[in-house]
Amino acid sequence: MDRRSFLKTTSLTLAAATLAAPNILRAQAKRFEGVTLNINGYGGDYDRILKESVAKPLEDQTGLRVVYTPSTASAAVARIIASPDNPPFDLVMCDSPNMPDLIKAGAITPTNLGPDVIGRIVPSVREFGDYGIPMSVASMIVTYNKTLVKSPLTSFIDLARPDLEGRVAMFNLENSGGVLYFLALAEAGGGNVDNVDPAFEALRKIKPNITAVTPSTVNLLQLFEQEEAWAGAFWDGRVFSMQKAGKPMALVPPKEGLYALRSYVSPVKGTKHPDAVKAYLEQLVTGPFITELSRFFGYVPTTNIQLPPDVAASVIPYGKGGLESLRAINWEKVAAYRGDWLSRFNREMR
Amino acid sequence: MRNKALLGLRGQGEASTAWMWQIAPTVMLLLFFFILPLAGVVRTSFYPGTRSFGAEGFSFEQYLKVILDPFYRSVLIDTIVDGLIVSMVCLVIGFPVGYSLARLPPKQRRWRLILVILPLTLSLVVIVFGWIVILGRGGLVNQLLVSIGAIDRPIRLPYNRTAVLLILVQQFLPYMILSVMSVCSKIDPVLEHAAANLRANRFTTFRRVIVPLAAPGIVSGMILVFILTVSAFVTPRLVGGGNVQMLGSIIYEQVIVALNWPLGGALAMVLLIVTSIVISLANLLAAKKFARHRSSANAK
Repeated sequence: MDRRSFLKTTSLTLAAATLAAPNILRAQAKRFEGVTLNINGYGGDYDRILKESVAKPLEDQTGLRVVYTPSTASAAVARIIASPDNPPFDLVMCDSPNMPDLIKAGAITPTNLGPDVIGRIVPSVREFGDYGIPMSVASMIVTYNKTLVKSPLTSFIDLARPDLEGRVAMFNLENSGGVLYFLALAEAGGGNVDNVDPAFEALRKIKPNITAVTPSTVNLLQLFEQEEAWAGAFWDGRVFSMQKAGKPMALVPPKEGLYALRSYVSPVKGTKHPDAVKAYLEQLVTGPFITELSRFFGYVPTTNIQLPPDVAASVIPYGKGGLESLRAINWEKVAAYRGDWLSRFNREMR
Repeated sequence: MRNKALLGLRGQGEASTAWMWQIAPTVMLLLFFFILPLAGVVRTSFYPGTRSFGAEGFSFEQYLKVILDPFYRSVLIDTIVDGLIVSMVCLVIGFPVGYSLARLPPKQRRWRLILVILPLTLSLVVIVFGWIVILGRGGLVNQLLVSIGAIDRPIRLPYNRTAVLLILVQQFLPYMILSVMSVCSKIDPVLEHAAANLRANRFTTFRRVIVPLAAPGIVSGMILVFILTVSAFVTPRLVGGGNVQMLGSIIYEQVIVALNWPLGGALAMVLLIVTSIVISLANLLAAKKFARHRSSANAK
């Protein structure tokens, strides 16, 4: 090789390397550039917190794009089960009652995260083994308007008190919150998940006081905010938010016990981006998401994260036992019986 | 000569196949997005048990449950009755509006038409929550009733059948107005002048000239509103407050919440069959009345 061709080859190689270098570096830094994860969403502030504390940091670090499509968890589950060969989502967010059907249909896969990540999750909130990452715990509590209801309420069955005639609002059994107070009434009356007659008996007593039963959280919120309803059973986090907004709503852990569900995020079987799914779940568990959720909704964290003192002070109290005090629920049986409960509820509350 | 004949034959052949190409996109669309999914629903409704994934076999179990259970029967009857009530109310309110719009010059009609169509552009959930606010104890209607002395203190207006029907009428009224308007705009005003010349008063002209000529629009508008009402599920779920059950909401619950697709499928098929029967009867009645009116007009 003569000097001229040596210089020419070297300079061309250097130029090519210089041009390619940023791309190589970018490819290393942004390993999910061009990848989009589709996830159903809960909408509202829950999705906002997810976007800010999970999706955005991930996109900044890895180039991974996350798209949330708000819908009800049940509708998302139905869509996934209906199209097993071409699932509409890479990850599904749903609640405890939805999980047995997803597992039974083979629509979700275990999370397969390392022990360093899984080890951070509080063991008692993992109801389905390796399936699903529990993001939050929401319980059904008794709430009432402190300015309109003079004598405090302490239990779900107190909603049958004569002074509340026409002023009680609750979920129906279409909403998972309805299933929670329903099980609480059943077990408090001596029944169980296999025998829910005591729950229907209690509901017959509460019925004259009911102004509306609804499947919609927003609708129930509206009923309390407009003072159409003075008392009822509602999500602890929603009552916490109303209190923060200055509404005189009481948040009472019911005497029947704390019945709660977990919100899970699970990898959908057949996702084309398993590595991106794993990265998303790791960011969710190890990033600021759990803290931010506690800050806004007052939810007790599902991981062993140390909350900042101001957040820790405002978290919804679950009593001395904390998350351990939550009642265990057999969700497999709930999933099997729910259709029948719905039909009977519709007949009896009509 | 022979060539001309051949060309003529080819032309006829092309004409006879041309229509097939013209309807092909619609047929394909209906096949893939209506017939095939419907076939899936029909198959699902014949599965035994409460789940369709992994299900096998063929059973009439779901249909027997729907037919023999008095609860489902009463909900089906309520749903059909609600459909008829909403269709009738929409006709009574919508006909004058549709007729008057048809008689307006195009320039004046345009803005009024936009006002009629505007509610259709809004999300149904937004409309329903808006109504709940309006009908609430602190809402506009209660305030108005208290201020005019009709009631002493605010009363509960939503969460009953009347509220559900009221909101359904508001939602589906534009369909009736548009249907009536499109037919009335084709009725020549000269016919009304002729009726007046023959000493027919306004009511007689309306009854014997306008209504028979507008019948196709009335029937199609009523069918449209009826179908939309019997399949409604958002409004009864949110405004019914648990007191009002319609079949659409029960199908939604069984399919989406309970994942009992076999029962949901059977309920949907029963609703489809009953609705088709009601619509066919309405069409038959309208056609008979139409034919009688035409023959009596011809005889005169």
